[in-house]
Amino acid sequence: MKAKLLFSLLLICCGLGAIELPIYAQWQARHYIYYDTLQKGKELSWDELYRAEIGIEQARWKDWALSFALESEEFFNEALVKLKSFNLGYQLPDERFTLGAGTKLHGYGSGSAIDTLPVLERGYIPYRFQPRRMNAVALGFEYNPASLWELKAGGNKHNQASMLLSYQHQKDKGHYAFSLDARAMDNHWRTPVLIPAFEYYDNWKQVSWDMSVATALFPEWDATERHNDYFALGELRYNAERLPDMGIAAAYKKQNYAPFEEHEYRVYLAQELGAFRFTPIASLQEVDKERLWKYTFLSQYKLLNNSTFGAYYEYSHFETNKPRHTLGLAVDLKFEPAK
Amino acid sequence: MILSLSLLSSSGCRFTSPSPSSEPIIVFTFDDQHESVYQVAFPIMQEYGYRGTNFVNTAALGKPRLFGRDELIEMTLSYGWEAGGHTLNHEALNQLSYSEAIRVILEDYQNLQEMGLNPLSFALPKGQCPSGVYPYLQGLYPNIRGSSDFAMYCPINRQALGYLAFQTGWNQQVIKQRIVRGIAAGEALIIIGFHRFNAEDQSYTDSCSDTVFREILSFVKEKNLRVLPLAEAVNTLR
Repeated sequence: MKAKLLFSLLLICCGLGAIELPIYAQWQARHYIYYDTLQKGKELSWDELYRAEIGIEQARWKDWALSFALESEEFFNEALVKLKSFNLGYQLPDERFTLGAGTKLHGYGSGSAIDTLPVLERGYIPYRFQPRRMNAVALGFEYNPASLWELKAGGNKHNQASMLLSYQHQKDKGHYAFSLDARAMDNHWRTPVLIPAFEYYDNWKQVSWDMSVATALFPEWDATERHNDYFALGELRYNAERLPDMGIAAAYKKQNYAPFEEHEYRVYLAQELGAFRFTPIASLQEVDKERLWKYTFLSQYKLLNNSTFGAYYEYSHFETNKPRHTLGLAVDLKFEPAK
Repeated sequence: MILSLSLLSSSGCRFTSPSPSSEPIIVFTFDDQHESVYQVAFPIMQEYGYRGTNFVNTAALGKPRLFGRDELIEMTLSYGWEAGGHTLNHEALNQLSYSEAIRVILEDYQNLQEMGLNPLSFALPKGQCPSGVYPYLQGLYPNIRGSSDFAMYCPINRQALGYLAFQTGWNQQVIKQRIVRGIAAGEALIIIGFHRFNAEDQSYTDSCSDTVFREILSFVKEKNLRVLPLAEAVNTLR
């Protein structure tokens, strides 16, 4: 009831203020049943993941800009609605500078084919390395139309006071970004940490690639030894005109607590036939020398550009080769404002 | 805008921060108070420095082949294990009237409280609970575990927890692979359940040998995974 009142009020404000409201909404769900030949007596299991999100991409009014997103995951019987992100920005009289404040989940490594095929492949936290919520104030400096510096200062209720300095540069068809993230406490050791990171996306003709690397530098602090954790994620894609699209992705993480070392590799093809898209995928995940192979066939019906209904079959096994067979449904619907 | 924001906070929306750590937590549960849990599993857990969670039928404590109140109190109050509810005599809640179902849940809860054990978690016998009884359970226990196995990601739904129950004839590979799949998929919580150990009668479908149990704990130790009682694990992930 209160949520309805909230949105009604927003709509009224926008009508009165003649603001265009670029609302978007998204629903993601994955339902699957598996038959595990190793688990004699408990071979069958069923599971479901649900996620809903609604928000405003960016609403502008004079010198102000607003964006926010609400999300709810699985707890629909509790009506648990979370504020996923909120950002309010103001352009200063010197138009190169902006002031902002808000909250969002921040981390490293997301959006790759490793995490999105099929939808909700890794649950609900989008970042693979050092995810945490950052509630912050920000000062942005637009060095030129293609370059932006930003300094954020803030933290969260887990006492992770932090400062984040970043530089982003937009190229013709790509971009790159450096960042330096200093936290009073990291996620695991609860000691200070410094995280330099680099992201890069680019494309050339039919080939596109993106990569993300980060390292967490831990000083000697109380019982924590001085050490470094490492993370890297990359994807290379080839979008052919007459051949199937193809891609290869890899992720690596090394840290001083379990799991100590993770490798993941994924190769896929994607062929469109009318409104259907067929994607065979082969993956290898190595967790501290334990190897899990997965072979997946995903078929999707494209409702619109970013909306699909899908079904998949997955055959997976460890070294023992006692396989698990999984059948699943994957839904990813997005309503987006006309651009 | 200010009014909108205040409505945002008062409508149940909240800021959240994810669990500070990204490794999964392992929970070992022990249902139905078989004497072998105290005689076999408890000492082995002690060797590894792990604490488990007992789900007991308080009216059955001390009956033949079952451990008693003294053992439960010892594990819980002296060694930091958790004691959770499981109805008075493992009744199938869907075969009872509403009032009878409430009685077997409430008296079981009160028995645990009288022993000074502060019950915070409940395991559904046979994983069954009529929908009409569920709200009562939710009001009594912050944590409720069923009998199905499924992936548990943050945010954890603490009143709809799953677990994988060890079956007779399994070896440590089954549990090891379940744990590794969970790590690979980014799961936050993995619950493994046991019922009895070294059963001579092979007709029992839920017996684990002490050798296999030790291999499972060795694997978890080697991986340096955190092992906690259920309520502590769930509180850590909130």
